[in-house]
Amino acid sequence: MDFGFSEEQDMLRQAAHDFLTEYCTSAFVRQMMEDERGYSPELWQQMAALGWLGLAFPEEYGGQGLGFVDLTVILEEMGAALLPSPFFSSVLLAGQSILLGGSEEQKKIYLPKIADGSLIATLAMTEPSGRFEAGGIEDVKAVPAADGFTISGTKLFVADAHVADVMVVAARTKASGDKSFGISLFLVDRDTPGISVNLLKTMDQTRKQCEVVFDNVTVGRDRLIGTVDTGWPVLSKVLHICTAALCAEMIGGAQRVLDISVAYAKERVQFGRPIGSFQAIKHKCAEMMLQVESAKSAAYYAAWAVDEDVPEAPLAVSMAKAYCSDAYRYTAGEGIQVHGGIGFTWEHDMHLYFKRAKYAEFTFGDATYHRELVAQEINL
Amino acid sequence: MDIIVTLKQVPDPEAPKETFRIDESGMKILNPPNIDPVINGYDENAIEAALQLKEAAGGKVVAVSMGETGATRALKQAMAMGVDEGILLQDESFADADAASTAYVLARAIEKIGSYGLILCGRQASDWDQSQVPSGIAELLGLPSVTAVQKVALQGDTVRVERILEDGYEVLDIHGPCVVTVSNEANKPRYPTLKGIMTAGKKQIPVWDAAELGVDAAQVGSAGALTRVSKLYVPSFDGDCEFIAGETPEEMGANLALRLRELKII
Repeated sequence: MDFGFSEEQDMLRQAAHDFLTEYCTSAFVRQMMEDERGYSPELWQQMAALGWLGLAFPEEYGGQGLGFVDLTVILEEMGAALLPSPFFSSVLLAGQSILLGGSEEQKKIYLPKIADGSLIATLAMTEPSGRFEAGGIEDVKAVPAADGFTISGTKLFVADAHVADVMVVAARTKASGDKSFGISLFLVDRDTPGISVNLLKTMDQTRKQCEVVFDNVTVGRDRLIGTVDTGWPVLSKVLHICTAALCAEMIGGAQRVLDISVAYAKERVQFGRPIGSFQAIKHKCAEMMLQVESAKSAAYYAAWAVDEDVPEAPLAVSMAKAYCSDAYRYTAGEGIQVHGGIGFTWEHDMHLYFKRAKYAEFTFGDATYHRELVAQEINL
Repeated sequence: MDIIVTLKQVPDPEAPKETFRIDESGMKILNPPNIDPVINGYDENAIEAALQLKEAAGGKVVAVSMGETGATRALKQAMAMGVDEGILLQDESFADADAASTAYVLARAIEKIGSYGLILCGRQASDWDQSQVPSGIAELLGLPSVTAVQKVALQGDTVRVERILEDGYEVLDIHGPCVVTVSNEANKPRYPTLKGIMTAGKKQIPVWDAAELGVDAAQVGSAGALTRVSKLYVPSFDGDCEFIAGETPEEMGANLALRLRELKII
């Protein structure tokens, strides 16, 4: 069995690693944490020029036409470097929503601009309930108006809404017993009258989140993605894709934590010996390695399943997210322990990984939620 | 103008220092396990210089590398950056070459390629840092050579370079085909784009062996080596920690200063 990456994917990983090592340093990440925008437009354009933003879009929409496994390679490196950028929100959350549900005209308008970096998009889905299922879309409602729809309500934890040009908004258009029916997706410009965006103070400042309030926001009928009330199947698939993508980021971060910790265990000398020679540290690192490798296997399987769009993709994705949620948090926590006192300081990067791990743990559902989905997939 | 760039794969200089290993008896530097070798950094500057010249004046850039199968990785990376073709020089008899026998094989390959106006090499390789192969190529091909340049430009058939000196640089014009070694001051190598990577992945790399190159077996690999390594070792640096005593921080500071003076450090 050969589960290895192709030569091109190895080259892509190396190129992404080298690029991010040079440009996404710890100092840069910390600078972006303080920056209200939370990303560097210059770096964004460089990433666009390298072709990263259009990697997974078909060539007719300005993309490179590559697969999800190729994207996984870049996402791992982004996670390892804690890249602060709207990549996830623009390319994945919004980009995939438009790609999967949008009309031909919408795809031709938006995807090339997302791919060349001239337009930043995001997905406004979650609400104060923080649920990632159809029933969580209740507060924001869209009602038919004269020439389109009027949207009102509050979205919460919307990634990068403060810098987005356009948002894919999931709104309840019909109250029905089956919560998966009655959700519609709209493309809404951020500067539309009636929209207010407030940056949230969150734990992981490498990734900005916002509250977005819609107060009688009017959008035209041409801004509807797909048909009325049938947005959930598209959104559900987008969530599968993005959950698999988040797992890729998480294993990249977890691997980097392991690498940093093992290097420190070899370098740090106490009682005349490197601390990595003590069983307490040795076994911590070994357990971290076990968890990281297992998480990688699960994440790669999910990436393959999403790429191939096989029927077991939802199961593979939930297995991966359940495992990665626990593994990244565990690894980042143990990484702090291996480093001892210095791992607890602001100056050391370990807390940045821990915070990212906590953010990722709950995004798109935590381990418990995904274990429940796994149980459902095996008919329990 | 068609340009040939020579490439060498070297152990990754960014690999953790504790992974550095040598084979003392075989007198070889070993590649760290699980860490792929990379293109020599100065060779990347040579590639970048070649690509900039191509973008300005047209022509073709061909990369050539002598090495084992793993060297295809370096050639593929060069092609991902924008190099048009890559050629791998590989034969069992090329093993354990030194600078002289490496230059010989590369020179024969460059002769076989035939069409070129400029040969660009990295200033030196980061594994042995000898800087001898480019001059060897120039000698064997009977070409003028300029080493360690910070700028290279084409003016018709003339190559104008800025050669780095200790206290500045000199500008030289070279007529006709020549060998130029590029230093890291010359440019910042580009990162391969996704399109470049995918294009490179589809390209085939021809492999030229000793027979194809028509080389003299006595001049290649260890047989043709003119240098003999008498010893290869990792120097050891032993640290010793001395605690300076004193009742108060001020006294400890004074004692530290006295001790440093005693050791003639200050």
